[in-house]
Amino acid sequence: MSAIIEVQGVIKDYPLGKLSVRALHGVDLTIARGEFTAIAGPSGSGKTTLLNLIGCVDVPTEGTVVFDGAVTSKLSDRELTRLRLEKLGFIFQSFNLVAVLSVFQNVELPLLLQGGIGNDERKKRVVDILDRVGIGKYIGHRPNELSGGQRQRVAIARALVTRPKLVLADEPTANLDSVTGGQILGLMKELNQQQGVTFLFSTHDHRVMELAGRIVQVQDGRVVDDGKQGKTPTSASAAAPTPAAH
Amino acid sequence: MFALVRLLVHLGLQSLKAHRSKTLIVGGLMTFGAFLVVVSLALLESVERGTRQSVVESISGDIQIYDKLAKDKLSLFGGFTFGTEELGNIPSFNKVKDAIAAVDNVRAVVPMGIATAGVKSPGDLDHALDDLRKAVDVGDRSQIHDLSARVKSIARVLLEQQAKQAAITETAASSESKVLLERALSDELWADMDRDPGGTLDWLESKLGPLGEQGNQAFMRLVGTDMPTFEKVFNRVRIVEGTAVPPGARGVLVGKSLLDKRLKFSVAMFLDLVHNERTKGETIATSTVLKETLQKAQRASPRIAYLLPPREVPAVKDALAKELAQPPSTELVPLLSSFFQMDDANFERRLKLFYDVIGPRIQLYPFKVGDTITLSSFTKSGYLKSMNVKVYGVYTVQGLDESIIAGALSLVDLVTFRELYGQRTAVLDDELAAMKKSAGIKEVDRGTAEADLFGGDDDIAVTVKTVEGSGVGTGSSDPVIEKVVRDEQMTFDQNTVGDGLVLSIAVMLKDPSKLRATLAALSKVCEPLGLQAVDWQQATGFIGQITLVVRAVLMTAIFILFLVTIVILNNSMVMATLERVSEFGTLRAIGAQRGFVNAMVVFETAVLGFLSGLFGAGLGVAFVTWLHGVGIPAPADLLQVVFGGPRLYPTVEASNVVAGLVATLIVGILATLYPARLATRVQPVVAMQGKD
Repeated sequence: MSAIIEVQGVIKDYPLGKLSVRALHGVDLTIARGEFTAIAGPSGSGKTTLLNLIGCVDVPTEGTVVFDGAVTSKLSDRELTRLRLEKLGFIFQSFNLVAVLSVFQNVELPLLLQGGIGNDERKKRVVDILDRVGIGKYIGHRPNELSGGQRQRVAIARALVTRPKLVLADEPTANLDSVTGGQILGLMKELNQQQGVTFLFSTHDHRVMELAGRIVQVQDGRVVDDGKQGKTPTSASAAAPTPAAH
Repeated sequence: MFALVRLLVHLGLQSLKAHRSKTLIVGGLMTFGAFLVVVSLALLESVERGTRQSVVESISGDIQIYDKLAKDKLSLFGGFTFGTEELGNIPSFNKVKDAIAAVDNVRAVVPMGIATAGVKSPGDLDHALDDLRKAVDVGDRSQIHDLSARVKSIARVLLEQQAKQAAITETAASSESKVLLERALSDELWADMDRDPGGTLDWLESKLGPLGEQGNQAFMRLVGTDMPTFEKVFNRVRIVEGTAVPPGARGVLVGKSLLDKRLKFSVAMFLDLVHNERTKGETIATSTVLKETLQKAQRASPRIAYLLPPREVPAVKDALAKELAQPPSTELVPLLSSFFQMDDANFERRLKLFYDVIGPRIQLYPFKVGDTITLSSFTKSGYLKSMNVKVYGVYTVQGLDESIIAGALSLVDLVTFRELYGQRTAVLDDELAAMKKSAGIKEVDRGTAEADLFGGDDDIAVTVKTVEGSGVGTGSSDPVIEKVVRDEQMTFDQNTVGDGLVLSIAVMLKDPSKLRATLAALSKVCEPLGLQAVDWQQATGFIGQITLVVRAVLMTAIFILFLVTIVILNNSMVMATLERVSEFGTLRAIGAQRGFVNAMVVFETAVLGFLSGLFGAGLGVAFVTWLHGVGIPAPADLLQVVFGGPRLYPTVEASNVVAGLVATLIVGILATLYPARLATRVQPVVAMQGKD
């Protein structure tokens, strides 16, 4: 299985006033196609920074992130945007649907941005994916008419409608109750197993980690563990204070 | 692409809906802006068309050409300076005519020159004495009788005035003139009249004449032009009385409103004024101005008594006595005084009576069509020059019959104009030579002037020579001044009229909408000829420029309104953008380019601009259409000229609507530039931090 992501010796500094805060202290990580990986770690550990770099919304200060063969730090803003549009899907903690658009329009949006897809084809793909995530009957609703779980399903549909190579999910269950969170994770796992979509999500939810095929533990800007379930760090070791990486 | 645009419009509309109060305020401002643009442009252009009609087709032509070295600006209706402007001149019309006429789009070329001339109307006594002299010359007995009676009645009025003055001041002069007046009223003088009319008349003219009131001097702004061409080209000019000036004849066409509102018999003019105001809805009872005007008419009414030929007096007295229900034996002056005590109830009836009974029996105007009047003007070199010109007719400008400005100009033939202007002609040169000869003037060379005038070898001895022809030593007390015999030609050769000097040239276009292009082409032609070309708005001075000024004021107001709109819109868009940072971040994260985010923000205001522009323009069209239906009245004379008639019926052009739409769109987009830039700077990272 070839790697979709290769992170090599990545250091990320953020300016904080006149100081510079190091969020990542040299991270190496490889994600293969078809994996269902969780990045775990306490708040401020640097997992969101790592996710940003992998998600091509940010580039490393040092080291390289290679996404599907492309070195992200060598790409322009335009090329990075194009890459996100074509090859990445995002699922956010607070769903981030466009409030003024219907469910259908929200999911259709990335396809419209891509362009070059015929009307019928586009409609078919949107309806299919909405059916697939179980939200088909709410097609004309506005996001604010839906529950949190339903919204996250719409967000998953939006992330998947472009058939991305990698779906990044930033704490996808954090704003959901445990039952709904479980259902959403189940859906993601199902999509991973049935359609081979590669998932990478950040979380500090144990139930999420239980479902993950691989858990990458991040702490103080470093990968401290990379392996299977069960090697979860104790809550004590997660409490180490580090400047928040925003 | 289409789907994407639809999405952008949809996003824009939805966002507008979401921020309803902001949308209403900004949309309202933009609607008002579009409305204002459409209405003001429609009105301005309608007014411009009106003014154009008023002046272009009556006097100025589309373009005027005049001397490049002119000190003052050409201003056909008179400018801000008093007197005649210094416009330089065009020495020969024919030399430049063809070059101008050859320019594309030029339909006609008309030579012109402006001069201000005074026309004297004699005082009542002078007038009566003049007529009496004519009657004596032809020996018309009954005329002599009538006119003698008129002179007597004037003398009586003068004597009464003198008595009143004497009550206030006692001067030697007044007692002297009293003697003269008493003699003028004495029977023995009029008995002399029968025996020796010539001698008596001489006495009356030299002794009584100076006691009469001064006549009026009215100023006329004359436009000298080639009359036949002018009448062909300027088709709004209508001759309402008399005829056109025939080719090759000296003559003047007088503006009707100048006659009616400046030169007419004052009592009639006062009554006309009151009548006019009453038709506009004023009443004598409520207007102090009208009351005062009627009082003026009443004070001036005794003039009627001595303007009336004596044999007409009984008929007038009868009519007035009947109207006033008084015995017909009452004297005329008190009858007139009561007659002019007018109110709203009797005004129209008495006005009709005035024009039916009194009007035809007195001369309401200082001159009639067919009369020869004397025009006096200061020439360029400062001499007073007088010309006798026949009044051929009276004209009005179609649609502006009532306007004093439109009828203020009188038209005169070019030859007369040139003489009033002071151009030397062969006839004048001959006259000058004759005068020099008769006065014994000798050319003195500058170098030998001193010797010629004061020197000489002779002993100092003064020899007084009696100048021949002077009355000194002949025993007569008054010097007799010999009249220079003037052989004024009343006709000229029409074919040579273009050879001489003119001040400006009016150019009429085939297609007036191409004015700018033709003006540019003409300027190029004029430059090497030492001339300049200006459009009608410049050439008509403040009248043509009223629209320019109004346009500038309105455009400034609209500009300020839009500036305010831009500031408010910009501000609210910045606030909205900051609220939507997370939305923009999300869109950027899922793959929207900066351009898309930019377009989102711009589309939002573009949609708002378009919709409010459409709405505002629609309101504007409706409003102008309504105005077109009812018409905007021109309350003032000046406005009539500017409106091109008594009412303005504005029309809205498609271009006005487009301008309104474009203006609001531009405002919308300008206001969005900064917030859109802010939105594109939102980093996709913020989507990840979205913890709202």
